[in-house]
Amino acid sequence: MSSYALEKAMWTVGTSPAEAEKFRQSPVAYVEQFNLDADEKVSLATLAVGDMAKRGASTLLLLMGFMAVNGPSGMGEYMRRMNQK
Amino acid sequence: MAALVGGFLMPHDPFMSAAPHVAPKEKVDNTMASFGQIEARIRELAADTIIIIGDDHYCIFGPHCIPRCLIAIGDVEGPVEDWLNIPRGPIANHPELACHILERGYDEGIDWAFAKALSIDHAIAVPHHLAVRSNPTLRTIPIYLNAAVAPVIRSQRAYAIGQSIRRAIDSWPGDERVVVFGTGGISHWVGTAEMGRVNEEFDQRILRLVEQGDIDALLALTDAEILEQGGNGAFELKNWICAMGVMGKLKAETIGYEAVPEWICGCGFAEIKEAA
Repeated sequence: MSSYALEKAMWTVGTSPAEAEKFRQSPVAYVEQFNLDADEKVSLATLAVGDMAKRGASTLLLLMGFMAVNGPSGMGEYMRRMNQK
Repeated sequence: MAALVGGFLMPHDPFMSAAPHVAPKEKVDNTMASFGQIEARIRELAADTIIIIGDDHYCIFGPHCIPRCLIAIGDVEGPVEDWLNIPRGPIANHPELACHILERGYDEGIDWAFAKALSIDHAIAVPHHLAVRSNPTLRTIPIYLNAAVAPVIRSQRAYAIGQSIRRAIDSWPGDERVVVFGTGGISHWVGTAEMGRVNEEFDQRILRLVEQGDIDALLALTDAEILEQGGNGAFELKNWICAMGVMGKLKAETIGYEAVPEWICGCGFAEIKEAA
């Protein structure tokens, strides 16, 4: 149930400023603490929210986690990535 | 005996407090006037206790635990979000009545989760801030239904929980005057590729059904239909349905409606009253 692990990762980032800072410092290192396959790790590390949504992750969490990492000015970029084909 | 003296349905859109200015002024003014009308009606009704039914947005519960229905029976504080422009602090609960609702529900097969010390999110905080806070004599009982994280609570169960809450109010020996809020919705798409879309036609259909007190039609809406027509945020209609269960056979008057893409939401308000 990897989509659940993606949700755990996004929830952790979204609810803890310290975890969000860890993610900003090293996304590649950050994703290693979660039970994800290689493709999912890439998706999480690059915050490919459209891809994570297709994998079944909650869009509430994707939005919350993305904004925690990128700040309130990140909404436009979030929508661009969500609509990426 | 305690008495249910009123009920209201309203949005809990966080943009209303966090960034009202991003919407056209007329829509902001009309929305705040709707909250003002509810605030005034609560005073007219001489209410002393408000039950606010909302849903968490992965702000206070996480993938490790998502309660289907939860009642706060002790300390309440919040909101947890620091960007709402709402001061964080304690909110007065009514622990005795909350415990009675819990115990009555247990007797009736409602498997409540409960919180002895709850930090609330915007689902409770925004309606409290805009319609309750100005009257410091009011006590607030927060109730959370899972109307946000799939699989969401069934509408029929939300209604049954509301009916159980009502029986608890009616059997409480105190002389409290209780008002219920159903919060959230109407149409909105949260975090999806369609975020910013508002389906005004769906929203008006819902408000007409509420005005008619047509709970059967609301319960007949499938989750697939709600999702397709109203977006993932429209599952919050289940909070409204629960409040309608508290009221029982009802009539309603729409207080206001604004489609506000800037707030990513169709914002509907209604007062629900017992039908004769």
